[in-house]
Amino acid sequence: MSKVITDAARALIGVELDPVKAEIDKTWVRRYALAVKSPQPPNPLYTDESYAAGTTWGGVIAPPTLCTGFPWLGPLLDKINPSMGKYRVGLNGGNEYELYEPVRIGDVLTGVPKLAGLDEKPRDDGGVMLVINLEAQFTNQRGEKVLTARQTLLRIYGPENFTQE
Amino acid sequence: MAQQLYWEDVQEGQDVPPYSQMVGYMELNRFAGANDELVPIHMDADYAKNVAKLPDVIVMGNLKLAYIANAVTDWAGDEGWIEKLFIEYRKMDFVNHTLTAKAKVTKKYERDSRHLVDLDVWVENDEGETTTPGRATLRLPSRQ
Repeated sequence: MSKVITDAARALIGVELDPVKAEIDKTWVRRYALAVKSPQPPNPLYTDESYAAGTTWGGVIAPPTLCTGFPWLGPLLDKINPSMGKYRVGLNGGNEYELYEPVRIGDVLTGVPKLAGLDEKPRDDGGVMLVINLEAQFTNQRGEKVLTARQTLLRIYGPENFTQE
Repeated sequence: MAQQLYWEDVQEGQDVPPYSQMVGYMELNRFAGANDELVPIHMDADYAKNVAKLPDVIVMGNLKLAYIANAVTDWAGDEGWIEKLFIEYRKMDFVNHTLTAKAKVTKKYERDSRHLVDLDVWVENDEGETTTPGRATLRLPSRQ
């Protein structure tokens, strides 16, 4: 018997949600490239137009992990959360990315997110660990498949005050 | 700007040069802004300790993933392309500790005219514990 997974949440598994858009602009790419390399200088492939023009890519591309900031989790969680009780802490369990084409400045990516699975495991302290598996397929404005993103979120419930709603 | 690595130069079992960084509030907050990841357990020690009941502010998993990508792309050079990246966040890492992203070549092969390298990838904390293990597949240029 599930302590935290409701029938309403389970019914969302596999349902594709409305598409989300990620518009890739120069500032986003630059700030991200700086943040992941700071205090060292960023990789010029991600920030320096003239340098990047001389590479095999012919111009600036986004760092491979820029996709961790694509805005697909929020709408998905907004859909799931009302079906779940209040958790004590939420954690990132893991990520999986398959990258097919480079993402470039000016690209408009469309992602189709879905809840891929739900599981719950008892914790030694009497609480519950909820495992949420999420997935999204992204294409660019030319219809090219760019990325498959998978995310595992962990939520710790209890051991006291389970508030299944 | 890294020197270009070619598939022929890679050996199975080879270690990738590590990428190491002391992660303070500057690194966390900068990444939080850049990745739109403004979450209290990554920024607010009072919240982390007293509300979330964690030992301290924890490092974002996505920043650890980015450090792994840094290690791989710094080694691979501009023409390297990460085709797959899988990571599990098994242990928390806390603010004001040094993290080191490492990788080791597990397999070198060709598939559909692509020259590929599989890697074990992971992040170690400053006590040498692996907190964040994973796997990657990297495509490299060939001299052929």
